[in-house]
Amino acid sequence: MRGYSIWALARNALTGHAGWPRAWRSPRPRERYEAVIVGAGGHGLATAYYLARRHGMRNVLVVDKGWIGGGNTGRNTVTIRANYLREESIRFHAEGLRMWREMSGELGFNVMFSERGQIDLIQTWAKLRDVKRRQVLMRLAGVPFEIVSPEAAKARVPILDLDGAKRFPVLAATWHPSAGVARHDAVAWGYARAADALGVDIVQGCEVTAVRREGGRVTGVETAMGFVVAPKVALAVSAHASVLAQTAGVRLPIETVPLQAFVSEPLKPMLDCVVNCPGQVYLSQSDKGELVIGGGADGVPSYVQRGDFATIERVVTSLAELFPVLGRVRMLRQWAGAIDLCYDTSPIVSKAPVDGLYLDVGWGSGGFKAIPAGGAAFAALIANDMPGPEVAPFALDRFATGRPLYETAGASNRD
Amino acid sequence: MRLVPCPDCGPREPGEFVCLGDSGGHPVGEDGLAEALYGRANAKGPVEELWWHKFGCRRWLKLRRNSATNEFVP
Amino acid sequence: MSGYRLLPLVPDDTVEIDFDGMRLSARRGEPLAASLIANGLSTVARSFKYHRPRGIVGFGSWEPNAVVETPDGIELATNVRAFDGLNARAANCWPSARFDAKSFLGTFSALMPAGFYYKTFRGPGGRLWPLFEPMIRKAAGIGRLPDRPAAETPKRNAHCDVLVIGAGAAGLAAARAVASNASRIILLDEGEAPGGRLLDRPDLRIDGVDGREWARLCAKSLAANGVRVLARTTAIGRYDGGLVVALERSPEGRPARLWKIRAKSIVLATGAIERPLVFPDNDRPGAMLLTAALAFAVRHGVAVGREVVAVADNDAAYDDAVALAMAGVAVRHIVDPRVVPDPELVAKARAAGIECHAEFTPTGIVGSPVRGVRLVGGDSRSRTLDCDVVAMSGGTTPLVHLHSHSGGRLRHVGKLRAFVPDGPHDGAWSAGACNGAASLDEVLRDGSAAGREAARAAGCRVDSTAPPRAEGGDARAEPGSEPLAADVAHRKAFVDFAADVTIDDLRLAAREGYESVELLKRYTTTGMAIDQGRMGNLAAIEALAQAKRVAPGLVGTTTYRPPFVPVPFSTIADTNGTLLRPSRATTLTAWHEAAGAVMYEAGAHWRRPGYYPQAGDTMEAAVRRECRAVRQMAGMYDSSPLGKFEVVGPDAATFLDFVYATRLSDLAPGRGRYALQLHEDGRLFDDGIVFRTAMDRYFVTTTTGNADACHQRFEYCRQILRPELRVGVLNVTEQWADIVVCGPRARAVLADTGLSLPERFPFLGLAACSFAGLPVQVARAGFTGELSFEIFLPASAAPQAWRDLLEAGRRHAIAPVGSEANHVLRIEKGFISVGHEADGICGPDDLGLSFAVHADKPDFVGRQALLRDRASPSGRPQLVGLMARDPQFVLPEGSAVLRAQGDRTRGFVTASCWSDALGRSLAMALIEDGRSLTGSDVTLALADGTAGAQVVPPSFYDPKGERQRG
Repeated sequence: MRGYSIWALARNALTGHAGWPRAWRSPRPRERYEAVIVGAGGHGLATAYYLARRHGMRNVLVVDKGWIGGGNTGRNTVTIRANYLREESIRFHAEGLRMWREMSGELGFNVMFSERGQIDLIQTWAKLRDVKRRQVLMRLAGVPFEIVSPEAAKARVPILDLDGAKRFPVLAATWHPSAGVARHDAVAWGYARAADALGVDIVQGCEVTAVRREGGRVTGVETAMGFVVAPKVALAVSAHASVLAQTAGVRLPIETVPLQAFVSEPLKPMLDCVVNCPGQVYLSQSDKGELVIGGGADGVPSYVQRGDFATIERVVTSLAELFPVLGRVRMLRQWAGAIDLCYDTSPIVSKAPVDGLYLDVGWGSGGFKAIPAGGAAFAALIANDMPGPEVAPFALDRFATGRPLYETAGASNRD
Repeated sequence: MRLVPCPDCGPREPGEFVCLGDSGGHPVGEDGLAEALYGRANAKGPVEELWWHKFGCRRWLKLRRNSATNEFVP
Repeated sequence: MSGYRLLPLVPDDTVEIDFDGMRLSARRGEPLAASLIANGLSTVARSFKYHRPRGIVGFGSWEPNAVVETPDGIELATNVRAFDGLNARAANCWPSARFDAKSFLGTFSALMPAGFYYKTFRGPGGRLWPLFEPMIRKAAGIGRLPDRPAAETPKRNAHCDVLVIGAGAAGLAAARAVASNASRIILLDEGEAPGGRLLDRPDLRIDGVDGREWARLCAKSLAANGVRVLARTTAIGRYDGGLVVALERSPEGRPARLWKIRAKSIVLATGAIERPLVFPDNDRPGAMLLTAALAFAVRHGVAVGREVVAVADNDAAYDDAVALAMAGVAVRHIVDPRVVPDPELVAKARAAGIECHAEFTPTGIVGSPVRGVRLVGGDSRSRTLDCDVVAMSGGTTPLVHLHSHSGGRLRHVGKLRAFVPDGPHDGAWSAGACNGAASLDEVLRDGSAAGREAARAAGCRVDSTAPPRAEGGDARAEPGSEPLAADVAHRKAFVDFAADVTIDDLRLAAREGYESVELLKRYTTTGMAIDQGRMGNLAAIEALAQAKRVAPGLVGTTTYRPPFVPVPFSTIADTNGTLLRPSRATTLTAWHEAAGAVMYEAGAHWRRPGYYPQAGDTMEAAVRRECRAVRQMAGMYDSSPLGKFEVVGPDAATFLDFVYATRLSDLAPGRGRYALQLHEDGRLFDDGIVFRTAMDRYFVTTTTGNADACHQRFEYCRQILRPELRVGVLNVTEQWADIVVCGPRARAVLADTGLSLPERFPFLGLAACSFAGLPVQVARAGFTGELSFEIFLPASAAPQAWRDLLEAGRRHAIAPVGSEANHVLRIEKGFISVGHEADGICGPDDLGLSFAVHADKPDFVGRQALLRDRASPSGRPQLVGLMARDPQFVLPEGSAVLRAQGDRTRGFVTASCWSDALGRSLAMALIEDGRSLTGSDVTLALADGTAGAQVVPPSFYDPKGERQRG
């Protein structure tokens, strides 16, 4: 892997940039691998990278029906944070924040992680009770997080309008300084390039149609390019996990739901942190200047990666209420992803009831932030056939024993 | 989303409904309890769903919809 | 580019406008772009990345460069209308478009190829990005945030049989083919007047009349037949099931109305836009689209320059060039890379005084703004033609966006070098240029056919008259196969003007492995700027296809997403938020407000009194006073928001035994019971008191917040799970008010108002009584642990009853009580509150509510999961009381419970208060295996610091319940 740097740029400028090597190969799948990871999104690619880097497993295939990062990685609104409600989740995501800071250096690829902090606006008493719990747990986990006044929030978010007869006055806010954003595609590309350099095969445009098993063991995957033998198969396909798991006879507590987002035209800098108004609308400004805006998921399960206009109206209404000055700003593009909502709104990073099948699913609207920590933990699970302590709470069997891990921090989480 | 075909009220905006998806049901025994409570078919393609016409006739509808296209199918 | 007016300004129609600090004269209502061109301005913008000087390229919504800031927001100069006092400024430059301080960035463009930022700005260890990021952010962004909020944009819903989008030749033909007398039809178009591209071509005739006149008459007769014709209206998105969202603008160009149209059938006649050619320096001010030059001349009487050279690789461009010449603009040459253009067209052009050069390819532009164009001939000889405008025509891009928005597939047509709809999709038929029709006759026939299909599908009558016939307009916009040029050193060949992406950027991306069209887009940003790639999309796909050595059809397109053109957020937002999510008021809310109560909005959006401060009161003082009244004398509160249901029928008892975990079938009429509903997975869902009013009739109360959800569950159980039961459920939440009178003197208060209770009236009894001549139901129930009566009465009668009770209660020192005091009173009693303790996670046993669960019943919702949970009870959260070691210290709600310092968290404080009645602080908590810790000490982690507390049973005040039963 040749290094990327300003010097390399300058050198290449002299030759009209003819000398840049490919970021990754485009191989055909071989017959047999140590492990097949289905899904070349952030999670699948990070998992492959950590398998190769930390566990010496390089004979690995990452296979995707689309392109690198083309699923929820390339569609999401990139908020990276750790202000969860369960201690297990907070500790997991706190480790994630640490990995995000190291990522550009580790991958030799600028993923533009921008630790700009997050303001959450609290408009209901129930939510205020909720953040009081978070405040204590965040402190115990050593992640700075404080409840601040509406005026303090306004100081960080000048476009916020606290005056006037607001339908839901801002009661308080929280400040989570280590939250941030990153460039979504770059994360997928950075991991892809690094994994490829370690020998991982990444095959795009090749759909996996079924997981094959013999008895209680996985034997490989059927793909559009033929059968691939592998003793270990890992699913990192978010919303499509139910369909693939079903081919191995596994039924998951997952529902596939559209989640929409949209961007404004690019503006000069006017918002320096992430703002979240739980359940209604959240936004940040990309380095390009676009406001990146999202809200809750659509109400009807669907694999269609298109959203409902009523949802857009609802989210934009919340936006205009809190930030009336954005009324004249124009929406440039809207889109939708299909997210994997888990029954208890916590993820599943787990062995499946079939030997050799591993699941990384159920991240809902919050999967992007979990790419490094989730990929590392999933890789360890695959390599050791045993979960590490950080993901042990996220095992699938929590449902069989009636101990779901309810988490109510995601944008699209219900109840 | 498409208009939801309500047999009482005609085609109506989805916002008038609550969609329960393929969840629901009432387990009666211990066998397969976890599957029944938490598992979802979550199929890509035709699914049998329950919809409640909350802001309408309040009827619970059993509808077939293609989750890959959102079309209601007979 | 030295534009001028073909039609002189008339004083009556002249307005003064301000652009970049210059005073300019303009014709009222014309696009700002026309004003700028007419005033001889060529550089009116700066490019996004390199700050290159840019001019007007397109027309209407198809303009990649000329973005201006106006007080109304950021807009295209081609869409902003000139009116008196218009003040516009070129975006993304300082101090002006002509002299931009950041133009030096172009010098470093060699260091800024596609994706350069991924390769640098990291610093050692990748930690220096925070230093670079603010600089990058400042350089990016095209406009500043407008500083004033937007006016409201009303919304309008419409339903129709056939919606025709686009009132050009195809759209008009389609609308005509739908018999309008029996159908509801909407025809909308972005332009001021119907006609589309017919408006630019005086030479075309349809059915024997001038094409423009035909369009006008056609629209007029359609309108006369009841077709709703909307001008200045742009369809911005097509959604599943025939929903089209469209934005109508005022004559001044401002948002006027957002339409949400549900159509049974849709005809998409959105037309096509011209493609520029890709060659070095093709972005210089003065290089523009031929059709745009024509539209400025014909529609607005503005010549884009003194000497025009058309560079074109298709037949239709010859007709356009001739039309431009006929409009009075000096078109000197047509340069065509093709070897043998149609001789007839060449002859026509020559007759119009235009010199034609076949087999010549543009290789560069002289000057900036344009002073000439460099060409190379088929014999490799180069030459330069002087001109101030290069009018480019590289074929067309069919506007297939609306077809694709809701999932329509596309196919590549080699002759057009473009993608067109692959057949109708989800009730939408494409027709005309957006469907690949090339000649005017084809367009009209295609429009008629689509109109008939759409009408038939919508169940409308179909017009059987023949489609309109065209004269002229045979020349096709099918481009010759054109090798894409490369950047030459600093002379960049732009594919995407708006995003500043060159052909070399695309080739670099492909070389580096970004080989899918989506990766290409994301790596180079082509197609992601304000024009969403309309101008350069096809060229980018061709570049990738060339690099991969495959057909463009195999490369495919990126996904087209709404909105079709950018729209202000204010047009999408529902402006009146108070009506959108209305709060709810009981019939007593007005009284509470008049009494000075601090109002909260809680559960299900009800506005309720939090506490009633008296002069100079703090909240604490008010709450203490209200609590004291209840514990020592009497209090009353408005419990009307409580969910209330009538459950009626011969099987009502069986039904409720199934819905509730509590047995209710053995209740005697006139008695109530505290009852629990579980989720099917065993968690507590809701609690409340269920009264039996007759053998076949129950009066059910639920929590306020869950009233709607309970209704849904009742109906679910009734209709789906137990359809055989003969039972009906009626939600009477808003019909019945509920006034609670409580405290030791409660009975006396009621007696003094003349409300006579039955002799024997046990705890949880329900009695029909008479109150001021009104039949009411009184229950001996409440949430305070005192002697308590709930009076259920018709909502309209509540205000008078409330005043009567207050008046009668005066002797007993009665006080109105808000939700804050209620919170304290219920903590003192250890009553759970759904939402605090039952936070959607705990089961009934966890909360100490086993007494209300009758698991011996054969079946009820949640029973199987409850049995499962009972089989393995350890490790579950359990409700306990906490006594802080310092009795004066009120433990903050949300504090974490640890067994000892350094332990993992075992639970949290759910509710906490100061209790005057007990003279100390109290708290409730959910703690893992908490009941086994009774009597022991735990540590609490607070937001700052720690505290100690003892675990106690969760009932502090009158634990035996003698007061409420007494």
